[in-house]
Amino acid sequence: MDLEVQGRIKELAESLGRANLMVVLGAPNVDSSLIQFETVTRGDPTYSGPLAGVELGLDTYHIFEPAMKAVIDAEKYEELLGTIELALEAETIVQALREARGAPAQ
Amino acid sequence: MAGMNPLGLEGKKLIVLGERDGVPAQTIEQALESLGAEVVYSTTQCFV
Repeated sequence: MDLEVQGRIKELAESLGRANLMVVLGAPNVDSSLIQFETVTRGDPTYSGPLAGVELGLDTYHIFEPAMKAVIDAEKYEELLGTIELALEAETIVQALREARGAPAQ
Repeated sequence: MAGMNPLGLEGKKLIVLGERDGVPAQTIEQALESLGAEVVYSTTQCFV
């Protein structure tokens, strides 16, 4: 993740409090989803940015995850995200994030 | 649906990390507007 982005997220977590923050991802594949998830939860896995060794533990979801879909109006979701979801490896991303949170593989 | 909000977005501060080759931040913001959360940071990254 971009170092500037990491720095901004760190500042926001410090100024607004971790409990009120939620991160929503729009990454196109498993690798970038996992790196971003790791960075804002357990710290920068590449140890190169401001979040290296910083476990923010922020609530983090990909926009394709069922928990997010459940709160978005279905028609709106289809209109805005339906085509993108079909074009990307949405199911694989969802499963990878489930496993990253410690849920058993399906 | 605004009334059905199991994630509890109401009052949350959102960090939106979109990606040009995935879902851009603006699209995520549009999808989540009117759910009671405030976007405090939004960026669309581009990895080539």
